Amino acid sequence: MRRFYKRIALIFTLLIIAISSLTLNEIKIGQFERGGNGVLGLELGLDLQGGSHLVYQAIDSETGEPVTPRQEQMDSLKQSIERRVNASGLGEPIIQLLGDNRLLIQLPGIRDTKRAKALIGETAQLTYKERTLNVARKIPGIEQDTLLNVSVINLNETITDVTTNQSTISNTSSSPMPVNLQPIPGLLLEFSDDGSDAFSNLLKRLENSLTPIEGTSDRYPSYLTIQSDNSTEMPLQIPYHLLLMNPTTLEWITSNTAPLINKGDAKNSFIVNVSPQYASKDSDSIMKSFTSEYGGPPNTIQLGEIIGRVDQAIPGGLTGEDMERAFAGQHQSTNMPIINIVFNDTGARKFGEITTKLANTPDLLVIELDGQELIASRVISPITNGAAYIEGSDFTIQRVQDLALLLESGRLPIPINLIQERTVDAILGSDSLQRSLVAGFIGLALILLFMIIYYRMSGVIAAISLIIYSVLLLGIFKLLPVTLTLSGIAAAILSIGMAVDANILIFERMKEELRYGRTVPTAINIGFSRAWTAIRDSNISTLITCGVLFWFADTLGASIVKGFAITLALGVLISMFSAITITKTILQIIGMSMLGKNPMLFTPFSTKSMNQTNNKE
Amino acid sequence: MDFVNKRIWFFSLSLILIAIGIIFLIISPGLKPGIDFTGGSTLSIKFINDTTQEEIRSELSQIGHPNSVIQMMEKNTYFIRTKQLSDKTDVISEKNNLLNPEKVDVLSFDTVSAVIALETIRNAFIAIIAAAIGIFLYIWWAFRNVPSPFRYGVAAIIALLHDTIIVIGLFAMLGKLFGVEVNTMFLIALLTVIGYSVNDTIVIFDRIRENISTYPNYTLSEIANLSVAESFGRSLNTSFTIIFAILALLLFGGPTIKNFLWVLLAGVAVGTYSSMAIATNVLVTWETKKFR
Repeated sequence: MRRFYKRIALIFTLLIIAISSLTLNEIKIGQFERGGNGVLGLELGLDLQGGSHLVYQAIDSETGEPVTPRQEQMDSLKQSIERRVNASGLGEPIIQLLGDNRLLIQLPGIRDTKRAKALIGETAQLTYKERTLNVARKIPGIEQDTLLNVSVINLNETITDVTTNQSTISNTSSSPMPVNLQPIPGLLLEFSDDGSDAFSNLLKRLENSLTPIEGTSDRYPSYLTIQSDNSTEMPLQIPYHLLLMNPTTLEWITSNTAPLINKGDAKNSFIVNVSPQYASKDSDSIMKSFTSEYGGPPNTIQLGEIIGRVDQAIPGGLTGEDMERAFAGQHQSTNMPIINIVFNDTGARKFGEITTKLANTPDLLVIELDGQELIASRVISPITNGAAYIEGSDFTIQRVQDLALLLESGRLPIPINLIQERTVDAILGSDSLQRSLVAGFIGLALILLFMIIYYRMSGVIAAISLIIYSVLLLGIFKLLPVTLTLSGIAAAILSIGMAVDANILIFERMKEELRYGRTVPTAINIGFSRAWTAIRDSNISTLITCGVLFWFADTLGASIVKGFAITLALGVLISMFSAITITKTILQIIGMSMLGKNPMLFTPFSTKSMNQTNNKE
Repeated sequence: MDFVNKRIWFFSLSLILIAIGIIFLIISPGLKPGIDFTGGSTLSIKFINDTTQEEIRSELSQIGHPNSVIQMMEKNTYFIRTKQLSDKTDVISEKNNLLNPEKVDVLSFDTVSAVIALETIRNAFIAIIAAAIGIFLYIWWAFRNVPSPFRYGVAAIIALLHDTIIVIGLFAMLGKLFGVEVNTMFLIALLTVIGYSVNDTIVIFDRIRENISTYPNYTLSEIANLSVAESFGRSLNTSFTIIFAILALLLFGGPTIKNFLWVLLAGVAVGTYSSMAIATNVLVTWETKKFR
């Protein structure tokens, strides 16, 4: 027995290490930390716990074709994305470089893949602009000679006329309009052809100004202004959505319900409804005072335009390059979510200049990403130290986090393109895990049952050795660690098959030796040495296949393939150890005991067939 | 058991199997490539309410995916393949009636761009060649002490190609009959089959190697026959145990790796057969220069 002590000690030590590592959910020894969220604390792959597997390719910013950037660019790309994903609260990502121009991002347990992809893939250009509000100017193309005539009209009279006309034509039964309506003052503007075009263009500008800026709900309406030389009041400011009627088409230009008017011959005429501006005045005096103020010859009124917003590039050009970093935070006193921005030296200087200019004005500082507005903010005071923060009434914690990340993204060193995505839902993942574990146990049980029935005592030993093998395999998975994936489980089960094969090879050889009439201990020794070459060569060929698979997976970023290859290779190596050391030791111990006196226990054949074989010899 | 003298039958059987496989491969479109080889997107979707394939098809057409492939995986669980999407929300949207996030669970979403798909095909080809060369060189070296060790490497590779072609042919057939697609997992399975096939072949060759030195007066035919007979029990038992494991996974495991397991099952069966009937007989035929 003494010669087995070393081997028994080795087997028990390994077994104790494996079992204790599996029973402890978390292991911490200095720098060495192991333990996951899965069964037995094993690390689970995305296909078993749910999550997204994204592969990005570096591309040329102009053509979109794949390119191979410099190593430093790829490293900094990886860092930028790591920072972004970590800061976004998207869980614990695993980000690694694949080959020389790809990036693999694994996001365990993620649900909102769209948001993740938007954050990761954004490579747009960050620009700063200054936005001046309500800029007054003359309407281009409208001069004294293009505005031919201005007259004051009562819109209610005009409308009533039309309604009467219409009802006679169509002879409908609609109720007659009430008489003696309160007068609504309007201006009839008559232009030359050029003036009419210029005014139509203005109308378009006014209409467009009502659309909110893309991606926001902010509007900056522009106005038509009318100033009379006779009036002491402020110019009339008339926004598009109320006020304009085109007598040519006989339609209200705006979306207001459109009563018709009978002015079809005046091709270049426009009617401006100015009534809201006079709503406070008493109705009888409205027309009178309005006519006295605005009813003069054209040269007594000035048409103008107030432009809602004018965006201009910042002199000297402040861009994403000038920024050092952006991060979400909370205001020290109000606890409101804010975005912190830190500029580098040149950025701080430019930012200082622009904030000095904008401070205490209604004008805004705008930050755009690829022409899309991210933030428009007023400047409270000049910021010259290069560290600013932005607050907003609509800011939530997630919004400021995303905005901070998008600000950072202006600095992604190379544009990237998503070329592969594999997303598995957590429900499917845990279902797969459960089913695979059940299948694994049943498969293992079937194999052990077969071995025991067919090889009897040897089969029992093989069963013990295979159970030890399974524990060691799981222990190594945890300690290395190997991430358990679906394909990895398949490989593990296949490797159990290989481990069984080693046992079968040995037992078949032993069986032959027993048939030649050798004693059990001798048969064990000869059986092992005969079987060894086959076990060695067949397993090495499997290892070669694993190596090829591993290389294949590495170039492809196919983590399922990689998991399979690693698991199978480990399984093969441990199966060799299990067959050579564990099975052999147990067999030898039992072979030397009382049980070893009975060869029958070790072979699947009856004494009769043994005798026949012996007779042949 | 006289494996060697019946070799003409084994060769004929294998040729027929290979021919059938090749015919199925040649009839267009051959293997049914999955998105890993063509680019595109797939979703596995579980509907909360009862939903038929036709209903899904008509809604997919309405939202601009008329040529999608829809297969039922389990009751109310469907596999849908579309052209390449940028996100699953391209198909699963609040605006839709059936494909609405309120009414479905998206179990998995995969998308592969055509760039990577082309690479996969190339790499798969290289991987199989590389595995074959590696194994060939190793066998040549491991059998350096027997006469003509080169032949053992070649015979193992012939058996390996034999298994690969039959399994690929089988999947071309399944693709036509049941719409089974091949993907990266299919390639892994194929490579595993290659590994197993060679593993099995080597065990028999090892027996031949041993018997050549034990019985120096025997002819190669006699030695081959003896070796196959001696390894027969082991070959069958090993195949059985691996088939047990695969069957357990097929019956109780999830649907995700089903195709993978079918490849393995077919591969183990064919691999066991080819080691005994093809690899060994190629050696004998080469030595005797006779097919019967």
